[in-house]
This record gives sequence, structure tokens and C-alpha cells, in this order.
Amino acid sequence: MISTSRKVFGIPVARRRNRRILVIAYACAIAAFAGAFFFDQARHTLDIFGILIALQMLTNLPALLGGIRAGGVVKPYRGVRWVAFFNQEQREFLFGRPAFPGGSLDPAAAELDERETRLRDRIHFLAYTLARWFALLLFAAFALIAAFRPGSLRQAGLFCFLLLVLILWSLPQTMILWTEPDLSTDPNTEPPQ
Amino acid sequence: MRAELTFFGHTLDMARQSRRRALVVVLYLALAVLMVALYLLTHWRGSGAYMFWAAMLACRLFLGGYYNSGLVKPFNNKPSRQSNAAPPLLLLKLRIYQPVLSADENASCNDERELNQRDRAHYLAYQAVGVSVIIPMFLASLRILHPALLAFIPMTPDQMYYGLLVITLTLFLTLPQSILLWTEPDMEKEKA
Repeated sequence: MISTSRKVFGIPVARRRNRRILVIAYACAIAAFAGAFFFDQARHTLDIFGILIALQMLTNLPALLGGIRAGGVVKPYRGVRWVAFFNQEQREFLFGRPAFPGGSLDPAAAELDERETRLRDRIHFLAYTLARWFALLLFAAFALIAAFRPGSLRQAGLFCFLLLVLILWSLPQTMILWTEPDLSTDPNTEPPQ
Repeated sequence: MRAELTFFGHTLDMARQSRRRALVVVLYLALAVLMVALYLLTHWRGSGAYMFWAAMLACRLFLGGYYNSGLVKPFNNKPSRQSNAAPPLLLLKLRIYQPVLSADENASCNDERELNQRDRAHYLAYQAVGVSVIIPMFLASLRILHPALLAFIPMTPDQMYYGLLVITLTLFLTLPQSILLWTEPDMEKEKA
């Protein structure tokens, strides 16, 4: 389920401890971006800068973890459909070959086997349960804001949805990274203790 | 998944896939009509929570998943608890009280195949909800960049966000059960 050949900011992800640090750093990044977005909205309502922050968050942060797209730490949930990264050896480059940060993708390695598919579905069941409670919490918060500060509803509504999108797009990946045990980078060796 | 639905004392045969699909369509149509009616009557001011209770009622009476009643067995896979207290009179009068007999205790638990189906349905539902929540972000961006394009929508932004949040919550509560009911093929009747 996890591509051990990949590194995030130079940190290998085979060890669970490193992955948990990555998850915590990711949560901090989300909090920082969401805070910047909320602060910008509170001061100027939504402007171009707010949209740019939101787009940056939505396109870059979940992609770092993978799952919803290829190239991240977690294998893509639906396999790889886009073949631009395959057969790196057969491609010709005009000014030398740039080093692809994630290494070349192997189509067979990107596909999930039966155990990984079951793990993916199981994690999504747990994530769905958590996200449902989170959505219920947002609904209650929205109702409270409507009751006590109706002037802030416009900002709060968009902020709620941005937070919901970020959580939804990254919760299963973070749960996989958090719970999977230490992995071996070489199939012939034992996992590190 | 259960093949029969007990509704106000009447037992409905839901073994056929077409019937289950019709039920899902009717339920979502009813929820959509309720949503529109609430907007026309109150603009969702103070009445948006009715949608939540309507979705919970649909789960309780028809879909299941979070209750022991309904077509889909409880997702938490725990055996139902039988209280020693007398059943409420209202449930008896409406004929929706379903006592759990000792022989049926395991009937509310999912087997291995049903657990896999449950997880798979939640995966699909998660993907669907994950994609659908982009729509408010898209609409908000459009409203900033090209306000004239959304001028035809007769509601304020906060009403729109509130409505979309209610729709998201309704999908969260009902989508996995609907996927299960929609995709499960016809059930074979047990031979006597």
C-alpha cells in the first residue's frame, strides 16, 4: 500500500516512525494554510489571494500523500491510468535527463493486490465514519454561527467546505501511513525493528 | 442484507434488485422534494435540521446501516441489544416494533462477504462525496471571478453553502446503504 521507494523531503517512509512524523507535519501544514485562508477571508472576504491559497492547498497537499493520484507515498487507489511516467528509460530528453523525484513508476507495482485492496476499503470505512462525524460537527457549528453571528456565515460556509475537502482528500492516506507497520525496502530482508 | 422489509406491520419482499433500486430512487426523490419545499417555505432558516432527521428516518425505516431495522445490517457489526423494558406504545401501535429473538441475534451481524461489501461501498461513497464537495469551492471561485455567471441563482451565498452542507450531510448518512442496495444482485429465496 505504501511505496517504499519514495521519499518525502528526503525522508524515507519505510519506517512507521518517519511516517507518523510526516502525518503530524501534514496536519500542521493544513492548520497553517487553513489559518491563513481564514485570516484572509475574515479581513477581505474572499478574494483572488484566498482562491490561490485554496487552490494551492487542494492541489499540492493531498498529492504529497498520494492515494488519489500517482506519485505520492501511498499507492494510487485506482492504479495508474496516466502513462506519462512509465517507461522512463525509453524516453528521450533534449537537455539531458532530469531526475524524476519519485523515480520511475512501475505499472505492476502501482496496482493494488488483493490484501491492499481490502486494506484500502477497510480504511475508507473507518475514514468515512470519522468524516461523517466531522461533517455533523461542521453542520452544528454552521447552525450556531447562523444563530449568533449571521454576518459571518458567508466566510464560515466556504471555510467549512475547504476544511471538509482537505480532510476528505487526505484522511484515508494519513490513516494508512499512521497504522501500517514498518516496511522492508528489499523484499529479501526483514523489516527494521 | 435482508431480503424483507417490515413497514408498519406489512412485510415487503425486497429480494429483487429492481425493487431495491426503485426504493433508492423514491427515497432520494422524497428527500429532494423535502429540501425544495423547505427552501420555498422557510429559505432553510431554522428548518435545515429537518433534512438531517428525514435522512435518519429513512435509515431507520428503509435503508438501515445505523439501526437494527432497515434492509442493510448494522455497519458496526455488533449484535443488537435487547432491553428488558416494555416497548414504547407508539412503536406497538405503528407496528414497527421488532423484538429480537435469541435465535436471530446473529442475524444482525455481517459475515465476511458482507463486511467486504460494506467496506467496498464505503470506499465508493467516500470517492463520490470527496468529488462532490469540490462543487462549493468551484461555485465560490466562480462567484468571485465572474459574478454575472451566477446571478441567476436566486439565493445568497450563505444560503447556498448551507444548502450544500445539508446535501453533503444527507449523502454522508445515506450513500453507502444506497450503493449496497443498488449493486446487490437478486437474492435467491431459501428453499423450504
